Amino acid sequence: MLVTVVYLLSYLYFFVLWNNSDVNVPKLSYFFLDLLDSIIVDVASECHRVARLGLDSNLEEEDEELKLSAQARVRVADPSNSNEANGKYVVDIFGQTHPPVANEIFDCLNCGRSIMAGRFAPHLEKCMGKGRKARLKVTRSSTATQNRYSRGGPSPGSTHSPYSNYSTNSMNRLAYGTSTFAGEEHSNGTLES
Amino acid sequence: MSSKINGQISPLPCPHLAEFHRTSAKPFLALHNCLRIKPPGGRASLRRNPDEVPRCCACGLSAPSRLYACVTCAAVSCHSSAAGVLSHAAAHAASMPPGHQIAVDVDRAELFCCACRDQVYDRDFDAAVVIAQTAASTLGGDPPPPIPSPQPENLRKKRRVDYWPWAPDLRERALIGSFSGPIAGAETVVDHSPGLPRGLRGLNNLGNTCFMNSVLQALLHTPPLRNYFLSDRHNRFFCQKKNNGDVDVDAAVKRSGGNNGNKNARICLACDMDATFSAVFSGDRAPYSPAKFLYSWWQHAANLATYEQQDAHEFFISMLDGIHEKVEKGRRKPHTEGNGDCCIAHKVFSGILRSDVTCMACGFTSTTYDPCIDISLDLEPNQWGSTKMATATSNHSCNGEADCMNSSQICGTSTLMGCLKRFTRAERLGSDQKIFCRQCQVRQETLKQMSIRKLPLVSCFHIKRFEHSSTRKMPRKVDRYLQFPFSLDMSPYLSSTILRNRFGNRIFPFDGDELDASDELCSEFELFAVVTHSGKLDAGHYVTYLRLSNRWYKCDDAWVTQVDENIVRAAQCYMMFYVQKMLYYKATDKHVAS
Repeated sequence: MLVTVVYLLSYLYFFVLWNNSDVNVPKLSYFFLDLLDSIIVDVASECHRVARLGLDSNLEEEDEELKLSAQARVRVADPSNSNEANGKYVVDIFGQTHPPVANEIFDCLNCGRSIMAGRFAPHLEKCMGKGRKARLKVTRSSTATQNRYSRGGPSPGSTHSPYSNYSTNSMNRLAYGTSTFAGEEHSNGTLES
Repeated sequence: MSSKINGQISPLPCPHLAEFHRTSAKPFLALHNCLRIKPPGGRASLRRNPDEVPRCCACGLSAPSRLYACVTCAAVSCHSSAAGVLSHAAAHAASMPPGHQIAVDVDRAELFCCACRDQVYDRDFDAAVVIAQTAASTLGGDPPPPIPSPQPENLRKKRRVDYWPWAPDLRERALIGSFSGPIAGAETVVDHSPGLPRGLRGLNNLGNTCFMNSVLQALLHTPPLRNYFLSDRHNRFFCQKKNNGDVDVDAAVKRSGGNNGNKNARICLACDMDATFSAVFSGDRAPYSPAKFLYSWWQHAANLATYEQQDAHEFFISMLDGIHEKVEKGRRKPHTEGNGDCCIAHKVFSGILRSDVTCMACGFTSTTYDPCIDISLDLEPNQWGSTKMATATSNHSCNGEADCMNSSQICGTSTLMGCLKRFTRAERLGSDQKIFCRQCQVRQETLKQMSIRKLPLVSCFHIKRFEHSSTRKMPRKVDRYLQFPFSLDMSPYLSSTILRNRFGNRIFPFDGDELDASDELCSEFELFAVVTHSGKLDAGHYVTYLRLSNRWYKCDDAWVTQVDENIVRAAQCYMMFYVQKMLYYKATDKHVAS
């Protein structure tokens, strides 16, 4: 509103100057003053109503918040203040440390296979046949199912012992932080066997 | 006598106005026919005829800037601004017998006391002005009644009841003993970190699932949601038992053998949320793997079930939709959409937005109400700083003027309040989006203005941090800083405030105004969770900051650390969760069954 008033006043002032002549000066000056007074009373009337009815927003509180945010940004940007350590590889408030990839072992809810927590989402994606390479995974899942059925016939002791050893080795190797590609290979190997 | 209605003070009337009210019955009824609204939606003025040029009775001048009409005898007097010249309006008030002190500013329709030489405010006079302004915008068509504003169906008011402590009866005690364990018992549960607030626990990243962990951390500490699940309002054992019963019936009909008992359980995100609450609030501080939740959510939202990094806001919307859908199907009752009473997700997060579309030719306004569970806000454009204007000047935003003024202190800084102001600002729709006006019967240019009709218990603000570059047609992430307050007053964005500004801040019960002062709407919110994002649009990391017992904790997947509040203030916010400062109990319609 103030910008509009200033703009209008400048325009009127220019208008008066441009029509500077002896005959017109008194009338234009009178008209200009009248309009200026009207605009001022308009703004005063509105501000008076806002103030009396308590409708002005709490600008002081807003300014306080802005000041706090500005101070916070300055303080955080200052490298001498060691406000925040690196997110990973630190001890949390419970005194615990965590590996970069979560190593909790639990059974997959879809197929019941043991899986590491940090690898659960990519495993579940293939297991549920969703997302990328869905068609290929469905085929492999069917193959795995057939293999599981065929293994039911022979003696359980002689068949499951090497499988569990292989699975343990695979888990141990994954736990040592191999790359994702290597992990995928071992997952494929597990599915194939 | 000074009562507060939604932040608006009714000032004490001056003795002359009080005397005027005592002597005259229905004093401003005659003025109703003289009120004119010059352009549609403009300011009110006082004219006996539309083309009347008022003159001062004493000096006959029509040019002075201020003319006052006496409300008792309708005499028009002038008040010159020149020093030394006697005011004819004051002379009129002094010379007449008592009762002529109150006058109306002819050009602005404002009450003025000539004896006190000050503007005075009266509810009845303002109501007459608002009624005249409303009638002017519906001049041609069928005039709707302005005073009883049409209340939407889903805004039925419920009485507030006082809080009384709850004690379980015999049946409830048996229920507690069977499937629930108390939390507060320090003897039973081994709390490894006694000094830290309960419910703080890291969430393991299952592989690009930081988006899920960050939103889950915020929801686990949403006060109404936490109270709901920790009070066993949704017990997963009973829910699954009931669902398994249904599935067994289906299985008996289809005669299909189930491979795994786990697969017979129907998808229920509320059950998985209950399991997550139990695990996180159990006192165990080792990081928890929300694998069951991810599995159920991937079955609910199959299109988002990929290993790629997902959007936290999209997950939030999808999860609340899943909770709502499950409860909706379980109850098997038809419910009004967006009622806010259907499920816990909508009870907590559901608000109502009001959209007004005003014809710029005749001033006819069409109003619609939409439910919303969060508010997505655009960041202010780059060339605009945060505008700081008084509330009165936003009256001119009805004309579509774009007032742009940068304060020297916050030049170039975007603020949440600036985004909300921009969200609720009157937006002029372009000439290519003309809307059919029911009154003009042709397509007209319109003004559209949003406002918040009903505030949710928890307000979630989502900042849109992506934009399409005009030169290269690729989406890009907006990394600009947005200032957000720890305490937020939402009253400037309510429908009642927006409408009051549109009508010139008159004292009138607008849509959403509660007349009873004790039932005043609580529009003050406190920040309790911030989800921040760092990185690019396609690859990044989400982190949640939680405020518990007035301390801030950073939840970075499995790592939970305490941080200073300056770090939260300087963070790049993506989703902000505010809870109402004062929560209360409502009287319930139906009988609460266990």
